[in-house]
Amino acid sequence: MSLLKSILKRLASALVVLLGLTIIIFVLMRIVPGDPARLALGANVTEEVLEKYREANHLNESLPMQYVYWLTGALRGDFGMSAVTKRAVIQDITDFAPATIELVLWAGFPPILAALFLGVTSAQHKNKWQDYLCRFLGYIFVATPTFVFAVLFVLVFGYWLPVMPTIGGRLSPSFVIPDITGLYVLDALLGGQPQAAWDAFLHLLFPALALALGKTMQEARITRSSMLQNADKDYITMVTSQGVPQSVVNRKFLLKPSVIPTVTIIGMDIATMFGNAFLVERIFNWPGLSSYGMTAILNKDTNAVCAVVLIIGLAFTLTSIAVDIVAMILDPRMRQKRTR
Amino acid sequence: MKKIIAGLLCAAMVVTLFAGCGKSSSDSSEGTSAGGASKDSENIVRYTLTTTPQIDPGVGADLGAATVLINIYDPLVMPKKDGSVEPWIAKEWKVSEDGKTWTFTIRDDVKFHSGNPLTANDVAYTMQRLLDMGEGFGYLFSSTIEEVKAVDDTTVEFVCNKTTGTLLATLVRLYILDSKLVEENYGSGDYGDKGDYGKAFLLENDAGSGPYKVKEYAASSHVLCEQNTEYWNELDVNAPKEFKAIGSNEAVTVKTMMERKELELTDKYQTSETINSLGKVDGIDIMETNTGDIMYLLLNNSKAPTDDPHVRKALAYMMDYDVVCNDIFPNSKKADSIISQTSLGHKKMNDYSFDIEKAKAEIAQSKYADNIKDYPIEVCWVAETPDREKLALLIQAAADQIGVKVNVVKTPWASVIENSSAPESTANVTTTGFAADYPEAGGVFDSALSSKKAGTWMNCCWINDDKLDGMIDEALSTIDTDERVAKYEAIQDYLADQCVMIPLAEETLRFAYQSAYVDYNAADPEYSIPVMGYVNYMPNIKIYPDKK
Repeated sequence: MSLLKSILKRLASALVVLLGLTIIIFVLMRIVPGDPARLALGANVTEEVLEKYREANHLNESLPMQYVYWLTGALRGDFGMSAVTKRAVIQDITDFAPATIELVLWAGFPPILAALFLGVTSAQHKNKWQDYLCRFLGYIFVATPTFVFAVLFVLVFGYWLPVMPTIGGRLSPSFVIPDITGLYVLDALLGGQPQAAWDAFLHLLFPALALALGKTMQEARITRSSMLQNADKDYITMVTSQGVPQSVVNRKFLLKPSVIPTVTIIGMDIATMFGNAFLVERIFNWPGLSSYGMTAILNKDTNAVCAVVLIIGLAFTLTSIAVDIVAMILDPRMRQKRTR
Repeated sequence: MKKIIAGLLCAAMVVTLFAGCGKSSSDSSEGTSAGGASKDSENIVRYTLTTTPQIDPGVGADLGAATVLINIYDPLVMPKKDGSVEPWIAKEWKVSEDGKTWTFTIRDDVKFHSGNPLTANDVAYTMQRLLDMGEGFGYLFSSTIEEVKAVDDTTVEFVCNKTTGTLLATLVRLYILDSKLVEENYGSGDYGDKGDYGKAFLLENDAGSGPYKVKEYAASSHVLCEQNTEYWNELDVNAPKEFKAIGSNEAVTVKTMMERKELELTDKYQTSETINSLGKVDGIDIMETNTGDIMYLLLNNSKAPTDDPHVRKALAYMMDYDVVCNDIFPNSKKADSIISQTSLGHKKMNDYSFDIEKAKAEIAQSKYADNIKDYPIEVCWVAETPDREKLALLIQAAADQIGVKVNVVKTPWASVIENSSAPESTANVTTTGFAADYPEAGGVFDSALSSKKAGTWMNCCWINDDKLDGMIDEALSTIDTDERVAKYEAIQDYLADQCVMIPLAEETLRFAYQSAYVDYNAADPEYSIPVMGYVNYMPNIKIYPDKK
């Protein structure tokens, strides 16, 4: 019950955060220079057409009224029309979001195992070559911007060793898969096309890897330091002195409390990937939401920017709630703290 | 033991992974399976754009849109290399005595991709749709065409509200729609009984009769088109079977795709470094062409101190044209008029060269001679185009030498559009490049100089000269081409000494292309049509997949 109460409280505060976010982004997009009507319709349209556009999009109303119109539309799932694609923004989001979701899922979840493995290995072999290697790679990967990996992969695996599938798109043109979830690997598997699923996976591999590398190493470093911190605690000394084998101590008593900080970071990393994937998406010509949002910003596509920011904000908020839940499940003390 | 097994499993996974990657690649060359392409699907020309283009001919009007529209739709008349037009869907035409009513006779052997026959009614419908919507290329007709009539199946009449000599030239942008198909696909919208006028449908589908038809529209990445095998005009046997316009032009991706022969043509936005490095790759060459784009310094004629012609001329003398044409825009040619040499009606009008002494002399003759320091010149460059900052810095460096203060202002494109709407907010100097929408001097005069259309990013010189407006109107309404050209030349003579704007360089567009298996005649200066988009006109491109 206390867990449910805590979740409900978090959801309620998330709503307030999202509302604030929409106000900030809406006002910002409206006050930056550039007539949205002119930007949407081009330099040569007549004043009459511009006026019609402004009227249809409530651009002649006061700023608070414009926001009310936008918000009521957004609550119905109507974010207006995109000035760039000329389509309903919700249709664009439906088209673009699955690509980013699939990318983030692959870049976010499988590397968790790698991060935990490296972090634990590093901690277990403190100041040995395994530890030095993990830390050395950690420094390099964490310090290297994501787009550098992307460019490097294109160069190495796309050009020097041409093992990467065609750049651009999520699937080779020779495959047609059913549109079930929008996640190509899964759709291909559900459609009974393992070859297509493999092809989609290969298209995903390097963009996901570019996005995941730095974050994985960061998570490994946090796991390592958390493990080492907990290893010095009294209860571990006590369990060890009672003759419990080290592998059991590690697995049952040390790992669980040590991954809590890592879980928090992982959650934040996954959430930020939604917004930060644009460079990787650009470089691999990955048709995702981040890339769409970037184009919208450059073209002052107000409706699209507001919608993308809201969606990313929503993803961020939901992920952080999920992280809290996982942390509470892992550590009962946190549940008690929250409900106190 | 467990560790060894785990290690072996990991190694096996890695090997499998790369074997899988390798398979895709090798399959690609054999053209058999995943990630690969058959010989048939290699008969494709792929090119990049900044974004996925708009393919509704009533909405799209930029370069990306033009490259697709010219291939999937037929225009009423076809532009020629010399800037004139030739019969296309309209096989002949005549104009009334008063020069207001144009009557076109339409071919009767053209079918749309849907199988519907193309009739005069479709032409009339297309024009009416452009006028009603007022978007895309509609502005070319909205101020002139009053009435549109389909007289019978093969005759259509356009009635203008004034004598319009440039109508024919602008009709290269009238891409004829299959009215029946569009009407069947009206959605709900703001156009009364016409609903959305087929906008939603035409965003992702075509209703044309052109040499190619849309096979796949992916808003998020590309437009794929296939050859219309029943096209009324015979296509070369080596014309590509398909073409793909890719809405992304990240340099690293473009380079890799070109080197892997997964891209046939680059776009014009690639940096000269990228193009040069691609030019060094075996099987890739560089095509240089001129499609009428000129890089200008647009001068605000209504704001101090550039309201004085001597200050404007001084600015023209401050520009080092050699640096502009060789270093900033490599291989470009110094512009000798505000009209491109590729356009009908071009005449040489000025001969400014980099000369600090002359610039100083012009300042001395201006009304600001004694207090020029009190009037800093604001030079705005579009933030999204970093090469133009170099132009601004060039002026600043020269101005420094003669004691003129220049403020270089980096301005986002959205702000340039906003600022251009009033003389007070327009900078003294704006660095901008453009070409006319149709290959005649009238296109530039009408869009960029006529005070009736002032207030746009193209028309922000604020000349406000009634005589000039009269001359432009007079020229645009002249039916006879020779007479019209003479009037265009007269306008250039009239402007020669006023220096209302500074044409810097006729931009040379540089494309890298797969010369080993592609004949890129569409951009070859010997054959190219100097109208936006025609460097990607597929019937003028040949591909030889066997040479790949």
